[in-house]
Amino acid sequence: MAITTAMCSSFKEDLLKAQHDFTATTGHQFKIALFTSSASLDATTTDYSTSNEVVGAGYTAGGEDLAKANQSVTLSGTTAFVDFGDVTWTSATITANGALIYNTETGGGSGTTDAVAVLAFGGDKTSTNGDFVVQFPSATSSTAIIRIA
Amino acid sequence: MIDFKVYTSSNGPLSPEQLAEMATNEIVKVSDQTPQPIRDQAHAYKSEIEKVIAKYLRQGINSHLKYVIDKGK
Repeated sequence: MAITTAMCSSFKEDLLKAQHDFTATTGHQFKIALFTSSASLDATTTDYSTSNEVVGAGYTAGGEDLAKANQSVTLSGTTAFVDFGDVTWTSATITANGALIYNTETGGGSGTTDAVAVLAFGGDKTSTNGDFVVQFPSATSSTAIIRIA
Repeated sequence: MIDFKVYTSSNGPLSPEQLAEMATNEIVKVSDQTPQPIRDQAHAYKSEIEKVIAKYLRQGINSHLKYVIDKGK
């Protein structure tokens, strides 16, 4: 079992089918869920599932919403990119090895689980009755979390 | 490459040093393609910025705590 950082292949296909909307405030609701080292997540991951999801105080199955107000789409030169606001689990006692970003409103629907990207933490990260924070990279054409060049 | 960071804490919130590092990650980005001497300077600058932010975060936290304690008297 392993978690490998990747842009999910199904997400790329979905993009060309106009299934994902990252527009700030009015776009789709994306979420980020945390997983243990027992999970298998990589570019072939197509959907969020509770299998091997983190369990612990301060964490709810399904993960946290990525605030719509903090997401943005920008075009810089020939590269378009998406940025998300950082996400924090507070007073959390959890151990996670990676995360999955997924869309809960794919195609304008509701309750969807379509995978967007997998984040591998490179090892177990643990918070004990404290904060667990995922900081997304700077929103630039060379560093943003999702980029189309 | 997807470059993100994970920060965790135990028995409390993130420390001023962790928050300062997060802030600096957003302020200063040093490309791996940058020539070594310039990269070294950029990292040194980033490190100094981090120390300054941490210092004022600590000052702000202490000031806030003192204010709360004084209000409670």
